[in-house]
This record gives sequence, C-alpha cells and structure tokens, in this order.
Amino acid sequence: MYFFVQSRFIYSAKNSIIALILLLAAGCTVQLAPSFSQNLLDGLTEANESTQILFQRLSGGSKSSDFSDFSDDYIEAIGKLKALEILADARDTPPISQRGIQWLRSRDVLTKLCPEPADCINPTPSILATTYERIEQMANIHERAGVDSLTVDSVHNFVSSQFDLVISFETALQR
Amino acid sequence: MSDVNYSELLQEILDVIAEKLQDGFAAIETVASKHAKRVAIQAELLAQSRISGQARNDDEVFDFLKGMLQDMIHSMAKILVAMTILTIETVWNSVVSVVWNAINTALSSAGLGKLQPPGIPEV
Repeated sequence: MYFFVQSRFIYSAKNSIIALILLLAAGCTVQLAPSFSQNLLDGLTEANESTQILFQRLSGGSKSSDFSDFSDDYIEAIGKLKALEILADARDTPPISQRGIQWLRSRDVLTKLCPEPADCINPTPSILATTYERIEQMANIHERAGVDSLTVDSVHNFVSSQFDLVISFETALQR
Repeated sequence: MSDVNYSELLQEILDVIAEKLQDGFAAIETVASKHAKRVAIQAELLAQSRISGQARNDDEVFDFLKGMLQDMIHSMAKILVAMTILTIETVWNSVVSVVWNAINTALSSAGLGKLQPPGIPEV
C-alpha cells in the first residue's frame, strides 16, 4: 500500500514538473493571482476610514440605550463592506490556480482553510464577509446589552487587522 | 552574431529567482509579523474581558470574542497562501522574461525577427 501511494505521488509530481517545464519552454507568462483593482483598493481605504470613525465614537464603550445613536454608523460600515465584497468577488479567479488548489485539496491539503479554491486565491471577499458579520454581531450585542471598552477594543483590533490584510494583499496585486 | 550563453543565462535565471523570492517573502513576512502582533493583542483583550470585562458574565460576548480570534488566524493563513501564489507568479514570469529576452537578443543579432511569447494555454 505504501509503495502504491508513494508511486502515485511520484507519478503526479513528475507530471506536474513536466507540465511546468513545458510551460516554461513555451515561454508562457502566467497569471496566478487575481487582477489588481484600483476601485477596490480605493473603496477599502475609504471603508477603513469610516469604520475607524465608528470605533473612535464607540471608544470607552456604550450603553444599550444609546444604540440608536450608532445604528446609522453600523449600517453604513456594513453596507460599504458588503458592496466591496461584491466588487472583489466579481473578479475572475485564474483557472490554473483553481486547479492547483483543487489538486492540493484532493490530497487533504488546505481543505479546511479553503472550502472553495477561490477562498485562498482571491481571499478578499471571504475576509470582508467575516468582517461585516462580526460588525453585525457587535451591533446586536450593543442593542441587547451595550458594549464595554474591552469589547469595543477587541472588535476594533479585529476589524483593523482584517483591513490591514486585505489592503496589503490588494496593494501587492499591483504588479 | 551572438548565441545564447548558457552559463550567463543560467546565472541570470538563478539571480532573478533569488531576487523575486526574497522580495515576495519579505512582503509576506511584513504582513505576517504585523498581523501576529494584532493576534497577540486580541488574545490579551479576550483574557482581560473574561476575567474582568463584559465576557465575564456574558457567554455570548465570550463566544463572540473567541470567534474573532479564530477568524484572525484563518484570515492570516488565507492571505499567506494568496501572497505565496502571487510570489510564484512573479518568479515564473520573471524567469520567462529573462529566457525570452536572451532568445530574442540572439535572434535579432542574427537579423531574425523576435519570437513572441504565446499566451497561456487553456487549462
């Protein structure tokens, strides 16, 4: 059994190496990562700024009775992130990379991290979706019980980290 | 007339691979180290909240904070995979550019037309 698995792996690896050599010999340039979008990068920068203003207003915490003072800010932040998710998701995911991730997934690599191959090639939409879902959850908690300064700081740190990641990635796509 | 010089071309290919890998992994390291600091802060805030904050008596808040910490680790891993793919693309295209440039330099020295790189085949 071991030798069967090993020989299958060697066969697949050989095929991949041969395919790579053939591509190189053909002089093909490849696009493995998504295309750069200036609109998306500008939108992310703007959404980051408006979200930072929300957290600035919330710093120190807020009672549930004051939720209505912030509901429009929550709606605006969530709406911007949803619009950006659609924009980021509309980009084509290079098929050659999808096949690469599928190949890895068929060997039990990246299966949990990338439920869909596109999640690891074009990660911006799924990261933005997670971000607005967390802001929605925070708004629900705010409305129900209020939010103390530690909760606000935690969500602020989380949201800032997600913006840092996607802005760094989208900037790197400018090649 | 000049031919493609094997030794020079090999060195040029190795140099461009080293340079592009170094650039790519330096960018990945910068993103990862910045994010790792945020993960550490998040873990500290989670512990503080459970000990003396809102998460002390509110399990929904505790689960919420815990979930965000997990999301941060997932997001970082996804970005690292995506940036690695981008680095492979950059290395690949730089090598193709070096090889094709060497071929075309030799062809034009011989008075022949340049060889256009074909597009990527359908996969």
